[in-house]
Amino acid sequence: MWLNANNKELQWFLDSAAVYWEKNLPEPADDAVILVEAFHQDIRVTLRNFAYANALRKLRPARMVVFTGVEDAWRKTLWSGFDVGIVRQIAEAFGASETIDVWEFVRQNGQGSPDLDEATLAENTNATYCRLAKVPALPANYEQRADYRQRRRYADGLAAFYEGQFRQNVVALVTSHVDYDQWGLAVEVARRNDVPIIHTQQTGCMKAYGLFPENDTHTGTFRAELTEQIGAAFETQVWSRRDELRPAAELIAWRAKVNLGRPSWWRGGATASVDLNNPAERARLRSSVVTRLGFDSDRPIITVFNHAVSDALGTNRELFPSLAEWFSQTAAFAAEHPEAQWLFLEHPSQALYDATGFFDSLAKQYKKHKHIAFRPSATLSKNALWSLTDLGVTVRGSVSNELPAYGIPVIQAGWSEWSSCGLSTVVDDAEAYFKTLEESINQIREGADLVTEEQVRRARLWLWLYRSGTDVVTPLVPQWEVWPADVLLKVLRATFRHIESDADPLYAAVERMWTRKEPMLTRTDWSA
Amino acid sequence: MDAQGADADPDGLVRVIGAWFTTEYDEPRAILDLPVEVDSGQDDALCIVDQVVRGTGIIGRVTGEFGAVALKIRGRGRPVHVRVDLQLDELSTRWWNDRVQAPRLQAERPRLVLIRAQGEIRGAAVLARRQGWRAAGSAHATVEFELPAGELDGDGLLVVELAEAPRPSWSDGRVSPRSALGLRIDTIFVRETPPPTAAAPRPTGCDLAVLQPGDPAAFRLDISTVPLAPPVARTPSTPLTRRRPPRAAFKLGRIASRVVVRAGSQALPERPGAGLGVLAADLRNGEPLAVEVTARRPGSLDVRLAAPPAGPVLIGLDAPHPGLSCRIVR
Repeated sequence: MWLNANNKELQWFLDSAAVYWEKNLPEPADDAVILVEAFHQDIRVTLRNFAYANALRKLRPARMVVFTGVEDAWRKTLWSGFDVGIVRQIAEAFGASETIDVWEFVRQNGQGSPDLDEATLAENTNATYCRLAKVPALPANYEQRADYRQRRRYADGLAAFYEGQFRQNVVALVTSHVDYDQWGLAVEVARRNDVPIIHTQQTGCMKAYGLFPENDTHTGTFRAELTEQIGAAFETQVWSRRDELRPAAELIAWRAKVNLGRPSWWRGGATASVDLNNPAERARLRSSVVTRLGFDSDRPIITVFNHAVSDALGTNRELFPSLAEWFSQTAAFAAEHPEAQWLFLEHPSQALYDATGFFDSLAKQYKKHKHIAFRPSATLSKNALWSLTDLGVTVRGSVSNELPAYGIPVIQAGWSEWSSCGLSTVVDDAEAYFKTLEESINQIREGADLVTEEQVRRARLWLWLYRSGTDVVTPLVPQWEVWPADVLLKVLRATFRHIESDADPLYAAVERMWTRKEPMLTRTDWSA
Repeated sequence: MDAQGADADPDGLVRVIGAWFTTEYDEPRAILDLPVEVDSGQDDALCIVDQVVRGTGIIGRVTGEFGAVALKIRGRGRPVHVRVDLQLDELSTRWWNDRVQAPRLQAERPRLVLIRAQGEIRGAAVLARRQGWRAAGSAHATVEFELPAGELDGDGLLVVELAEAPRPSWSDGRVSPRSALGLRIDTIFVRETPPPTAAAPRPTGCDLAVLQPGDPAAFRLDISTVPLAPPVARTPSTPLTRRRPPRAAFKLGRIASRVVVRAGSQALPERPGAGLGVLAADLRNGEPLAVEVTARRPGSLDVRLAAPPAGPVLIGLDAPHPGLSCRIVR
């Protein structure tokens, strides 16, 4: 773990955590075990796993086994400061009975021979390889490359290790990520062993999704299963009480507009707040902004939001073989459709995900097309973006929630957490995607409104669900923005030392989710 | 959740979007009555900012290549006179260099920006700081224009934008790239009648100047000397340079180079201008314009364009010299 904290502060935190959990966790009566991962270097990520796992252990006494470690490529690309020693200390303070350096084990035991099917192993390897090499797709001769073959061997080793672990009496797997080899394979092995998977989220206070074996249809990826369950829960629990929730949804829509609650987590500061209030104001600003792009304000503008191109490839349903393929095919389509103007926006964190200059090379390719513009996202304020965009296009980006909440239509070329909640237009295949684009352009030119009032309300309710309904406020997990490390540790020390633990909202929420096998941890009891 | 303002606008295409921009928690807009003077980013009537950080004693500072602010004003359907005060100060150059990262030894260059209102070009400004022995003074520019009748009624929104200007090739290397970045918008005045006295012409502090649309085709160009500019200061960005002892050393180095450059500037001629020619370009498209020098005096030229400028026109000396300053006297 990378923890830029004062040593003394860390020690106080560890001592107070150890005392707190020692008195709050019941002794397990059997050999039950909860498996928890700690592969991420940010303590806020691991803290959420431990908090959930311990809340579950209060309910179902079990030992906690922690998986950690770091492999060279992970260290090189992402986690230069990962310190297994600190993970061990924190795990111990949170009452773990064992902390296993998984990567050390895999390195020492060489190639494993897992039962997991070849396709799943290859998918995880490919996604991990792309992410760590920061490339949008596998290179042509990837199977001959030594680094790829190494990755593939690691996948075998990891899967074999996890299969061994899941032969125990496992109550649950608690994991912050569900993609890439070190997490993804654990999730796949858990699914095959009918073990519930708790997927904690890296935002808000305590947020978690859960996939229970009883609800797992095994027809899609973990995220695809979840998308459908979230959609169903949204329909029966949230949309059905839209009238009652309206004031809360309106308030959160306002807060998201002025950048409270970090609606687009990657965009902060003065350019993240939206001031526009009506079509007239939008039109005024639009007439200024279009000239910067060489566009005409009277013709439709379609904004295509690029993704971090190597981010969790194939993790949910997608219409195109890769995110980069989607983006470049959309650009090719745009080149042939000058009846609209196309703004291709780069992802603000792309430097962490792409070392190939994918966006720039595409921009160069279409440089001559006056109706197409390529821009880094941060060169346009949100006001400018909202004034321009007549139709947003993404695969799974958060704009597909944000824009419809304010009446801007969005087409999704894939699934996301909220894609079954009816906020955006989610298309089924590549053919339908291009057809929908074409139809939408025609409708915009005819002056049609592509977003219904119902979609707007659904989108605002999703904002509420995401930021409030499924965000459990507990002193055991300070809000994500409580940072830097010293501040977080101090706040947690105060919690462990001075707040009485009985009836902590986390325990009640976890109990509800666990006993009812709900796909989401919820702030309140929806059945009440 | 009613769709406020759905029918408020205009003709043309794509006007349905925006009806859902409001929530039940949005406050009604403050609208100013004429005459208007806004000098703070906290003013309620300053309702929209686009790549501008709101200030307290000023309207704001531009954070990108373009920056716009919008004021909500109750127009009366008559023409209005708008005045925009801009400033280039030390922080402007810091903000600029933090984002542009100019070469370490490149001297500070003048800024050239277009001023647009309601999406149309209304004027331009050149700003160059006056360099001193220890620091540089701020450069100020004022741009005034008439907004024709009808442009401010209806929605009552006045959008003022600082924008990158299309430039002629002869200005290469003479103007800052991303000129608007870091500039201050100090104050915006909107009145029904222009103030009776126009401001006295000021030297630009560099070998460039601008004519505003509607200025006469013939004018006098006064040329004087100014101290040379040292490179723009850099904000320390590495763990090493951020520490105190190295920072002090960097600061000393900066002051030393400033003194050297300033001392070198003493060698400039007192009354320049002999043998100098003039170039001109239309800032709406960067196209060069025909221009002739009709008379020469020491330190001053009489210049004539083929026609009165329809858009802002950039005037520059044909032999670039960072130690010369121009003043247009109409």
